[in-house]
Amino acid sequence: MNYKRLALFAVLSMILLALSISAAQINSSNYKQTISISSGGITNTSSENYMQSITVGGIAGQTESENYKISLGFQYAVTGLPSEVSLISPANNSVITNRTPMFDWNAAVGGSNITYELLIQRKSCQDLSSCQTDLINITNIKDTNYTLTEMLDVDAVYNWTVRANNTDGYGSYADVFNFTVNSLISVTLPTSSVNFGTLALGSNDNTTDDSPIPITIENDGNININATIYANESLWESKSLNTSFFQFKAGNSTEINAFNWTGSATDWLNVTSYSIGAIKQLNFSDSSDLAEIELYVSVPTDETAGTKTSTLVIESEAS
Amino acid sequence: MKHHKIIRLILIIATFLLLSQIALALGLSPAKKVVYFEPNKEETITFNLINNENKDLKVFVEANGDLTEYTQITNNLVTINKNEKTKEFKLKISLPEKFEKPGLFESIIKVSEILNAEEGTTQISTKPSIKGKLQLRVPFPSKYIESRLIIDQNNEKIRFVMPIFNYGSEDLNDVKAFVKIFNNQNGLIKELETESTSIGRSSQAKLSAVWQANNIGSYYAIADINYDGESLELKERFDIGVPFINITKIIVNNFRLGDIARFDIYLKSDWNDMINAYADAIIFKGDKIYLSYKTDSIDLVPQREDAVYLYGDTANIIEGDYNLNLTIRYPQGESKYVVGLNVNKDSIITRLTPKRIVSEKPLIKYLTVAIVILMIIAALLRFKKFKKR
Repeated sequence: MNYKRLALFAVLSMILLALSISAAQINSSNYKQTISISSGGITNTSSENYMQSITVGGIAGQTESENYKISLGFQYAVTGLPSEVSLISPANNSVITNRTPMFDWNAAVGGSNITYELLIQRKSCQDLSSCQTDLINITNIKDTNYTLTEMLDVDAVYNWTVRANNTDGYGSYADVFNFTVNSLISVTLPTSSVNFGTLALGSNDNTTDDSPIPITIENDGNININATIYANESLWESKSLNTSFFQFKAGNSTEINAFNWTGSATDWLNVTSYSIGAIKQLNFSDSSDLAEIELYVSVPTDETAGTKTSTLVIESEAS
Repeated sequence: MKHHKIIRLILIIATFLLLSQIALALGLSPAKKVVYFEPNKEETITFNLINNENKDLKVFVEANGDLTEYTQITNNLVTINKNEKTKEFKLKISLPEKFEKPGLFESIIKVSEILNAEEGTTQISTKPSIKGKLQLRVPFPSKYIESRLIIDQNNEKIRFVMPIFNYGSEDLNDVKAFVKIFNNQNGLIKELETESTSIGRSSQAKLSAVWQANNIGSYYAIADINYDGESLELKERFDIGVPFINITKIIVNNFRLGDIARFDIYLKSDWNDMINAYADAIIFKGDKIYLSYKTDSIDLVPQREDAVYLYGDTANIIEGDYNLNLTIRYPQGESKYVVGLNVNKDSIITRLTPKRIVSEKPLIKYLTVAIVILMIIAALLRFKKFKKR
C-alpha cells in the first residue's frame, strides 16, 4: 500500500515537472516558432521581441497595445527596426570653420522611443600638429540634431553619419557625408584707438587705469593666436622708436585667463619698428578671447607742440 | 627754474594713437595650407578673407619666405564690399623640377588692411595684420614616415590612434603597429596589434587598436610602427580614471583622557602606482575647533593599507561626542571624510574603529547545512524501516 502511494507520488511529481518545463518553454523569450498562413502567404517568425500564446478559440498572452495588433487570431509586433535617416548638415563636401558644429538630419520612422547615434570620424588631417580628435560617437540623442561639445580638429576632413535606434535595435547607418574644417585666423580690435588728450611737456600717462581705455584685441577665429606689435613711425618728433617714451604691455580684460600670461609681454616694453611679441596663445572660445594692450606715453621735454600720431600694427598668427 | 619754465610752457599735444575710432577686424582662412612637392607641379590655392565687421575694406596680400620665388598672388590688392562676408584671393604656386633639400619649407602669407590716408597727411597706415602659412613638404629619400600616438579615452575603453604621414619618396606597402601597454612598474599589461595598411607617397593613413582596461591607474604605451622593414617607436603616458584614497580604519590605542592621543589612520589607495599622501585633520564640535593638525606624508603602495599618525592633546577635551574632519591630500586630488568621535575616559571610538565582529552569515550557513544533512539521514533511516517491513 505504501509502495503504491510512493509510486503514485512519483508519477504525479513527474507530470508536474513535465508541465512546468513545457510552460517555461512556451513563455520563454528564447522560444521561436514560425507561423505560416497559406491563404495570405504570411510568414511570421517570433523573436525576442515577439512573444505569443495561442489557445483554441481565444487569444492569451500579450494584450493589444500600441506596438501589438491582433490579426487572424494571433498577435504580432508592428514596430521592427527604425528606417534609415537622411543627413542634412554639415552638407556633403562642405567646408566649415566652426569646430563645434551642429549636426542635423531627418527623423527616422518606425516605432516609438526613437533615439539616434551620431558617428563622426576623421578621414585626414593636414599634419601631425592638427591631428587630435579622431572619433566622436554620441548615442541616445533624442532630437534630430546635435551640437558638438568636443572640438573638431582644424584643417581636417571628417566623415559623419547617423543611425536610429528603437526598442527593436539599430537601423542602418545613413549614407556617409564628409566635410572639411578649415582653420581661421580672425582678429577684431573692438577698441582700436587711444586718445590721451592734452599732455604737458614732461608728463606721462598710461591706459592701466582705463582712462583712456586701452586697445582691446579679440580672437574671433577657431585657433589660438599670438599677437605681435610694432609701429611704422615714432609718436614723437624728438624721440625715435624703441625708447621709454612710448611703451606697451599685455593686460587682462574682463575675460581673465584669455591668454598665456607668463609667455606674454606683461611688463612695459618699448614700441619698436619691428615686431615684438605682445600676447601669446590668445584663446578663441567666446567666453575668454579678449585681451588688452596697455599703452604708456611720456612727453619728451623737448617735444614741439602739435598733434602727435602713430600707427601700431598688430599682427596675429597661429600660435 | 627750468622745471617752472616747462610748466609754464604747457603745450597742447594731442596724441592720437591708431586713428580709426571704429572696431577693426580681419580674418583669413585657411590659416595654413600644406602642399606636397612634385616636379614642376602647378597649383592654385584659394584663401578666404573674412569681413567680420561688414565694412568696406581694402586689403594688401603678400607672400614672403622660402617659397617666394615659386608663388604668385594674382591680385595683391583686394577690395571687399561691406555686403561681402568673405572674399577669395588666389595664390599660384609653380614648383621647380627639383628641390635641393628634403623637408618642410614655409612662406608667410601676410594680409594687411589698408587705411584711408588721413586728411592733411600722405602716409598710409596698415592694421590689423594677419599672417597665414604656406608650407611645402619635399619628400625625404627612400622610406620615411612621421606619426604620433594619440590616446583616445572613453571611460575605460582606450583607443590608440596613430595618424601616419608618408613623407618619403616611395610608396609603403605594409604598415602595421604593435602596441604594448605597461604599468608604471614596467609590467607588461597587454599587447595589441593593428591591421596592416599601405600608404602611397605624400599620403596619410591611420592605424588604431582598442584596449578595454580593467583597472584604473597610470600606464604607458609603446607603439612600434613597422613600415616595409623600417620601424618607428612612439611612447605615450596616460591615466585611466583618478585615484581615490579610502580610510579603512582609525585606531586610538592606549588612550587616557587628558593625555596626547595618537590616531592611527589607515589609508588604502585604489591606484596601481605609489601615491604620496597626507591628511589634514580637524576635531570640532559645533563651531568650536579643538584640534587642527597635518600629518606627515607617506608613500601608499597599491592595494596595501598603511597609516598616517595624527597626534592630539586631549587636555581641553571632556568626554562626549565630537567630529573628526579628515582631508586626505595627494597629487591627483583629495578625498574628504567626516567621522564621529566618541571620547571616553580611556577610549576614543569612531565608526571606523574596528570592533570584534561575530560573523552571522557563515553561522546560519553551517546550521542550514547541518539541518539538511540531519533531514537526509532521517529520511534514509525511515526508508530503511519501510524496506524492513
